[in-house]
Amino acid sequence: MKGPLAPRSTGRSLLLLRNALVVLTALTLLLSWLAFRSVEAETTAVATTTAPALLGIANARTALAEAERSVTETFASDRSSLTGPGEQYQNQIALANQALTEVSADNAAGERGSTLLLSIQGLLIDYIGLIEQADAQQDRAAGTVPPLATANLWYASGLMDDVQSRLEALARLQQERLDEQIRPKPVVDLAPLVLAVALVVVLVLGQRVLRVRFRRRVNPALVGATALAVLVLFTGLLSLLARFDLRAAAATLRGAAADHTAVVEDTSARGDRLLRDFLDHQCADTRCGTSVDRFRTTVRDPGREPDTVAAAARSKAATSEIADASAGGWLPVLPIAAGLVIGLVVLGFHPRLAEYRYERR
Amino acid sequence: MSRRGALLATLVLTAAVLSGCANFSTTTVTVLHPWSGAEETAFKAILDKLDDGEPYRIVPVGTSSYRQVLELGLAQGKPADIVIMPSLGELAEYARQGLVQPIDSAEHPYPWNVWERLGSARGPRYGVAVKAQLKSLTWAKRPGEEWCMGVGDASAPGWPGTDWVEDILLRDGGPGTYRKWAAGQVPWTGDQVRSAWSSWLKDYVAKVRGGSKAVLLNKFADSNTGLPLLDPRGTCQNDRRSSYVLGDYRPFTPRRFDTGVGTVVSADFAALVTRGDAATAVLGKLASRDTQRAWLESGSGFPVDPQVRQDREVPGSSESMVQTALAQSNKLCFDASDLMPVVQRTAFEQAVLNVLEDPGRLPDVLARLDKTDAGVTEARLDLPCGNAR
Repeated sequence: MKGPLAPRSTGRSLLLLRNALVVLTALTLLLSWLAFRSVEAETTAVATTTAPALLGIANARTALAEAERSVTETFASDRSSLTGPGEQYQNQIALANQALTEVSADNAAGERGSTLLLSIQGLLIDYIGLIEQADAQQDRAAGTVPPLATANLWYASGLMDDVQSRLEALARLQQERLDEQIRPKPVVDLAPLVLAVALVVVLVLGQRVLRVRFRRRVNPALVGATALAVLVLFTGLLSLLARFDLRAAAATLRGAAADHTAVVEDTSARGDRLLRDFLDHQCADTRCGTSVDRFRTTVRDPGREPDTVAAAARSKAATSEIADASAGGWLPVLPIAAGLVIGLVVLGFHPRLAEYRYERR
Repeated sequence: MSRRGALLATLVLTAAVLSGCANFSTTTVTVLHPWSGAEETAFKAILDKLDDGEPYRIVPVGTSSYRQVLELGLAQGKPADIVIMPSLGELAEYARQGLVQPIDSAEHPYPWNVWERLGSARGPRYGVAVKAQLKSLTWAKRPGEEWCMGVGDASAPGWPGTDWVEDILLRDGGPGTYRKWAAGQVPWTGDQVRSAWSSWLKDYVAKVRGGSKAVLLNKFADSNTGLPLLDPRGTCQNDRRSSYVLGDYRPFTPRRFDTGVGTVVSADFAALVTRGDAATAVLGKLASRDTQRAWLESGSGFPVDPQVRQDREVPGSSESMVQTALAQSNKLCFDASDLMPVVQRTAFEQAVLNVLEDPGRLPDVLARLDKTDAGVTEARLDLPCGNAR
């Protein structure tokens, strides 16, 4: 025979085809592995750090806004001389501390996040100190709140604004990290799929070449390799779907954070209104000064009652969606399947290549 | 490369990538500082300007609760590397507890070098003055008697009142009395100290609209509304505020509160919490003339080194007046409350609040301050003040 159909040329073509399949399988494995690892790592990072940190910050903000509102209400209602800052205040501060401790463990915003968190914890110590001072300065015998206790409540309120704005900044840092984690990665996700499809196509073509050249209906090893290549393609699809699920879960998470922010703003507005009325009462016979006058003009009417139940439900939904966004435990399957593909390709081509080696001699 | 070799290389590369990637990290130097607003913005800009491609990253953390943050960090085993604070009394406490490290870098001129050594001429140096402010300044918007005044502050309420008492005592009692009082050698109930408190209440607090109760509830720095003299609905004509407001108060002429015998100054000192080349290098940068010049240009601080002047200094300007005052080393006295141990400083601040709540309580409050002093066993800082050495 001459030309491309000559035995020597056919043997070389077969060798080329086999090696191309081996290289293609190795590349498919490599890129599928990277895509799988990428989505798994990001899902894990969102599930174990960013999402709990964001929800923890939201919980801390909600608890602190409620603590602030509650302590103002207690002092304004004349019962503070008997109850102190009140049980609700104590509970909410404890909840906020617990949430911040969790955020500290889950923080995804690196050094900037940790240091910001430390500064928030420092301010909270000052806040609690001011409320304790206000409590200690009450005139328990007369059941009144003297000017100095009023002043400490007023200072504490300003400090809480600072705490809330720092928590907001911390949430923004976590949000930026979340945006990085869920950013679409078309090359990482689509390249292994394209390669896996190409692998399946080349395996089918190889089967056809062997059938035409050697009049064998089926090469069982190549059939097995093709089936395994489809499995590799399937895992690639799974990782792509996981990426879509993660983005959807992140949207729910953002919605939950927005719900909490609305609750914080409503609760803070209620607290501010209580504080304004309390200061008006305390300063009925004299002037409260320019700072209080200015504060009065900033107090806005709160909207409807904050929907804490809806915020909590959306948080729960976000956590659940993130947990479900995993691509499953298919990662170990990849190297086994790809290794078997390579083995079966080598096995499938071996007898035909051996024939040509024999003929060449 | 043979085909077999190429195949092998492909498989080896695949295995290598699958086995994982290397991790690279950068050293960070955390700098805890007490600034906010314009000062914080200026500090960040200065850090960017000083970045000369160093192999470390500086992370500035601004908080008025720097003490709590530092102690929380120490308790958690990851403290800030450098802490900047205005209180030498606090720095002395940290030095005693071994929480800050001695420093060996270029010294500042007298009296800053003695202050940085916590009063000892040859002792270890624990702080580096980063920038200074002239405290004894008043500003007038237009002729009028009313004072702007507020002692409200989130982290240390009462401190602006301590500045008033210090200024009046230095003006009326002179540097000798001021130095002894700051060192705990003159009782709070002494005539001159009591007279300074009375003068503050009678000559200044009484001239605030709303009186002492308004002073108690007014915030010293209201971030939402800015400085009192700039408020278009202004209710006061005079403000006592240190040189940090020079940029904002440019339309007004500053007046020296002192009568020439001594001037109260404050400064922010950087101290080394952790040992390490990167932290030491950052500390050196913070004290450098370049940094001091950058502070001066930013309008948020004045240099400790009198040699550092503005390139285009306008003679007779407010900046020039402040720099000239800061260069008169034989007239400078450090802010007394910032020399006191934390317990006394806090008691001083609380005394301000108590007296404002009820000015008639002054004798009792001063007697209680004496009792607080008697109960503190720590050695007090005794630093030069003006010509009283």
